[in-house]
Amino acid sequence: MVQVERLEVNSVVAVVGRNGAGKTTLLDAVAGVINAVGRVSACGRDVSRLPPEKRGLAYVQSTPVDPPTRVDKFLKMVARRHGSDVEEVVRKLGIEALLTRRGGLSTGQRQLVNLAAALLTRPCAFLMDEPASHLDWINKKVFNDAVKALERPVLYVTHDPFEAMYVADVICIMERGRIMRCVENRTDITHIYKTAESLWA
Amino acid sequence: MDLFSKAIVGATASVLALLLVVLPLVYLSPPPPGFVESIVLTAVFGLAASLLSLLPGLAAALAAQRGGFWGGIAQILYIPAVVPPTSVGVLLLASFSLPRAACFEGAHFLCGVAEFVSEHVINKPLGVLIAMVVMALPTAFSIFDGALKEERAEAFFRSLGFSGPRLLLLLLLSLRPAAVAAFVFSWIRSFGELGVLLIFASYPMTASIYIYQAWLNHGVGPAVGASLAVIAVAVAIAFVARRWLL
Repeated sequence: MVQVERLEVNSVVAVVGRNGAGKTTLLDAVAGVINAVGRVSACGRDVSRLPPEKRGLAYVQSTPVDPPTRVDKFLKMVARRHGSDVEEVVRKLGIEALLTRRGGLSTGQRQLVNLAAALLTRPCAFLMDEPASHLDWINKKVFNDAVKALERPVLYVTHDPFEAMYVADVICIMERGRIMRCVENRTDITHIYKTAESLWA
Repeated sequence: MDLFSKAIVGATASVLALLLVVLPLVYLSPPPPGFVESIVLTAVFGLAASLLSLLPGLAAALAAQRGGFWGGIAQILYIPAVVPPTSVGVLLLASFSLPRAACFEGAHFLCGVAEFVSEHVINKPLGVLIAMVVMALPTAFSIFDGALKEERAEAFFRSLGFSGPRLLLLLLLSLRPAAVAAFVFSWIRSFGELGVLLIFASYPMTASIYIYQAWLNHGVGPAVGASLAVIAVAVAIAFVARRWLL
């Protein structure tokens, strides 16, 4: 059972925990995918009784979902629904080259397209369930750099503390279904990432 | 692949090829008239049934993933796969015969339904389609169920604001490999559907009924000819699907 007293997400908050700690269950409960007791607020309103499609919480999965149509058509479909601008999001994530692709996207490319679609919904917050766990290191960095630039609250679940230290403003530790503690992330490991990135230069 | 696995694959494939292709060739003789028509008919009805089974199969798989009451209800779609096809035929026949049994003077609606069923369903093209859809549902259900275990596409699309028919359509398109697999395997399977059709809708004559009739009326030889042709068609569909679609 997962029991969380209170968790405020106003920036990028990483929940770090081992397998089976209840991280995905926490996200599912917040997203409304599973039934839960308690209160979820988003954009200042109580969304606890709303279905996932009305909560205003964009949920990015660990295994990226294949775009149902050609990338640009899919993004336009989402943008039309939420009155957002595809070009702006595409530019922000640097995925111009993917727009005319239909299939054959790599896992990293698919995850960026998923993030673009999520961004187009103009959500109150993002929920991310180990979104970079299937990505190679370079794609992981590209994705996490995009997350850092979202300028929206993000509840980011990972089992990797280094990833949490790179991407998050606040790090919470989850064990046996409970948030044990949350600490402000004052460790800047950007230089370590840059050093690692230079290996590919 | 190690030598042991190769040996098992080789032995199994050889035995099957021997029993289902090579040895029956001894009896080979041309099938009686009407063979091509039965194949075309099976292909058309099987195609329609496979397409019609996709959305219910996907919706049931989604319900099964969520569990609870509707997850339990969704499991009903497995029934045609776990009971003998002849039982499915008998049960369909019993259900569709009910309006006739319940029709009495003055019950215009029931008698109208009974008339419609006898004119348009039992042993009629619509009956063939209904039987094939019923038998295709478990295939679509099980393939989508497996695909949704790998990908949590529903949670993603719902969080993007989609629900209802549009959500199902997006899922169907996103899970393309599973949708194609469900469609192709249901279609191929329709060529072998005998039990339910024999009892519920043996006319117009589909490939399996045709082979059965050929065996009854003309002996083994023509039935072997027709069976090998059906194998060739099914293998060709599977090959094309495997090569270009899956």
